[in-house]
Amino acid sequence: MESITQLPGHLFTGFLTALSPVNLLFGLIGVTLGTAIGVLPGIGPALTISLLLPITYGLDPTTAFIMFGGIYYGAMYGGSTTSILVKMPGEAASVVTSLDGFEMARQGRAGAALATAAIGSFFAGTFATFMLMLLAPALVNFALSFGPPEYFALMMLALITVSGLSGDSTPRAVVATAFGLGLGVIGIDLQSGQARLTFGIPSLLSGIDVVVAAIGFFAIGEVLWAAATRAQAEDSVSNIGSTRMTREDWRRSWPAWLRGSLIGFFVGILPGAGATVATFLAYSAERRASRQPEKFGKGAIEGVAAPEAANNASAGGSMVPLLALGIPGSGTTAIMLAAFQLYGLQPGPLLFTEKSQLVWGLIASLYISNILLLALNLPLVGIWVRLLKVPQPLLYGSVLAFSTLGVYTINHNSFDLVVVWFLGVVSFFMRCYAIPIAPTILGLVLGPLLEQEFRKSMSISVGDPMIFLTRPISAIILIVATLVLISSLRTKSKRG
Amino acid sequence: MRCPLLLFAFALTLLSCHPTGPTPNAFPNKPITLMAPANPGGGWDQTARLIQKVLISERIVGTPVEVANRPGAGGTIGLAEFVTANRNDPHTALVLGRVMLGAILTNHSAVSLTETVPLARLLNEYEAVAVPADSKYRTFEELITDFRRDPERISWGGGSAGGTDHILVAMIARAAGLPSNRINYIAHSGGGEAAVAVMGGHVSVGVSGYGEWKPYVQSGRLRFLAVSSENRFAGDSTPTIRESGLSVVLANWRSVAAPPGTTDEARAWWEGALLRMRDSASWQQILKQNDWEDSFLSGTDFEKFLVEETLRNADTLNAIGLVPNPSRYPYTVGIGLLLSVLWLLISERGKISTAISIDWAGLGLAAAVVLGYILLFEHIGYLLATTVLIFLTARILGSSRWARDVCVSLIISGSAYFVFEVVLKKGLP
Repeated sequence: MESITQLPGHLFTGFLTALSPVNLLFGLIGVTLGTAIGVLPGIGPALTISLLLPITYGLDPTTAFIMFGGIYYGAMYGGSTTSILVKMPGEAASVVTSLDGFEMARQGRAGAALATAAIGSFFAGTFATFMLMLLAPALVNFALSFGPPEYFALMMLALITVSGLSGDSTPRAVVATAFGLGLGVIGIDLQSGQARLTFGIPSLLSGIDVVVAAIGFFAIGEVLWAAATRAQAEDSVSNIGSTRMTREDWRRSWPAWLRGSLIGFFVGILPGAGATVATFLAYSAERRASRQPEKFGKGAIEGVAAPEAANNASAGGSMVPLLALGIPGSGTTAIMLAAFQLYGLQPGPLLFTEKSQLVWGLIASLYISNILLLALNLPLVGIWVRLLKVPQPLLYGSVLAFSTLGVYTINHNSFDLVVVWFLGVVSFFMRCYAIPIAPTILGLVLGPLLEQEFRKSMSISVGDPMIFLTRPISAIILIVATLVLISSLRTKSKRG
Repeated sequence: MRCPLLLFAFALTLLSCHPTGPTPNAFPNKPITLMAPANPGGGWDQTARLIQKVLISERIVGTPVEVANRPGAGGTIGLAEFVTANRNDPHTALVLGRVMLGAILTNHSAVSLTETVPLARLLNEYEAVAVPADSKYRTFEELITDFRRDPERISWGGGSAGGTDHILVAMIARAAGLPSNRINYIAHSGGGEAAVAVMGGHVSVGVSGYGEWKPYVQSGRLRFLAVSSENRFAGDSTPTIRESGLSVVLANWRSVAAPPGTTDEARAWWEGALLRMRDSASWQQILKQNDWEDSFLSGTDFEKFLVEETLRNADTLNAIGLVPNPSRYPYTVGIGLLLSVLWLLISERGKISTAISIDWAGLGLAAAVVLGYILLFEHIGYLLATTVLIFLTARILGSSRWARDVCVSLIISGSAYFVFEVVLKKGLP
């Protein structure tokens, strides 16, 4: 990446590498596996790559990384499927998708939701790869300029977005958020090493996993809800509807893909933020940009398009610090970093010059993966929606089986399942009293980050809170967050 | 043509059931598992995978070798599972290191290392102290001068609280004559995150494994000030901490342990296998690549070392008294939750009621079935429990076709079992 003029040449050799039959085949294996494990809850791309590592020792590193890249992108495609169809998020980054995605499925628009997720993922993945190719070294300084105060400000901004998830009642949303923040306290405090709210149970020391919480709150909660309302349930077979997007769907989706990709990519670059935060931010931005914000949470296609674009773009974004700096920005890139080291390679600025065939082969293969994934996932839409033809009692029984299995395989710990059950029961009662669940998940994701970044900042400044305002990036984000808060309180009071 | 062969092997691994052909009696007679009590990508995981790689590539082990990750609580969660689930079955070995000693103490772990059978210490990793490339500190002495003058102004970035990085900072402070409560240590969840904080200039100085941060020094973003080893590294002019006059040496070792109930035969096999691995050229190259010191030690010498090291570590931890710095955050959240509930109750007085009429029988039954499944499936086996779960749930939700429900339940639980157990080998009960 010495200069822009060399780019076409590099890219050409990259495509030559990526399009060799062996690499193409492993790319195809990667995207297929990735899609499959994205659909299954619990098994994420990080775990899959670590399972495959020993098999790839004999492979050329370029081929192995082409497969890993395919798995990573593929998991982001697949993650949305079960979120939309049965409200069982396969990955933490597709929790937000289930808010509007599942509503769309209930209205017989599962096909459109899956299609906008797949095409949005394609758009975002390609966009992120393009940005990665063009700007990786320059963006490294952007990533490094984010210290604890900036992360704290960003998390505050994300927390403010809760106002976009709350429905009509502000007190209810605040209760839900506070509950989520409370759940986030559970576990070992990083700064002091002390256990908090673990009640002497060792399994709680590592805190409550977001996927575990999401499955409890959504999948188990949904089954309990169905059991408690069985007399009022309508016909058991859902309406499948069309599997295509209408012209109106396209018109509403593409701006959401664009915004979601931008947000996802830039949040993805930041090693301390993560894809889940990106999806919440993208969802909220979309709601704010929409002329009909009241439709969000009731089956708005933008509410699927934006977070699905964001999680794919964030996967691409997290490749920036990995390749250009050797720093993992997500669980998956952490295992990819380990894989680099197993091959005796060291990611970083030198990688681009010393192993240019690998880097450019990988970048080219990410473009190809996206095309393969689109070709794989669009036809799958028609098959997936047929799942909804399964009579509801059996469908829910299977959801229970797969979601508990997914949770169990994360840590091999049946106590996690007790947590899932408990959260499922809690979410049932929250739903009874119209307390929204999404803010609780957001609180759980953001709480630990907010607290840690705040305390790190205060340590750095030796107790001076002005650190949040004297640093320009943090000050700007905090001002934006304040403006967003004021404007959302205003619209609320106007409506109320 | 290695590729078609590889592909074939790949397909075989994906499709085949458990590898066949156990030789009766002789150990090992089934796949070997290396348990890394950490997330994929961390130091212990990396070590486990390198051991796996050499054991396979040098053909030291005839059976397949797998790595299993059991993260959480500084490794103590993995340790607890290791001594209970693998008792009397030495086909699983635990990869661990010095950090485990501290984690056992700080997490009040019910299980300690004495319950395991120590096999061998494999390597020493030394720590390095680094500053951003544009830092005003050119030497370790300059840093220590400022540290002595105004300790809180120097923020140290490193790994988790109570871990090796933190202990090194505390040892430096003690040697410099400063009380440990004046250390401004900022814990990060990993070396990568800490590296970002140092490179970005957000903390004054960082502490991590020498080999882990060496690439950042080579790429010109960081500068090493000192290393925690006895002597300088070959080919690197970075002085040791001892050269600055502070008598601090810290080695972060990694080792392998077998579960309780390991037979002498299995122990001898493991020690022999690890020794052969250590003597192989590929292992020596790995050590060199990662700047690890070969500190192989096994048998009674290693046992003795472990006992001494455990005492030493407890002494250090007590002496430096890593003072926990409790946060008011949990109380803030608790009070916030109470206040928000009060707000809700007051502002929506009279409007709070359930939106639906609840079918309590259905709810209770469903909740009981799920809870029963969770508590029982490890005991009665996955297939049976899951089939019953799906079937009962369907009945509760109003399905009335017996035969169809039984069939579907069987198919679903069977295919779930196939995917997770046979293909992915996730170890279901």
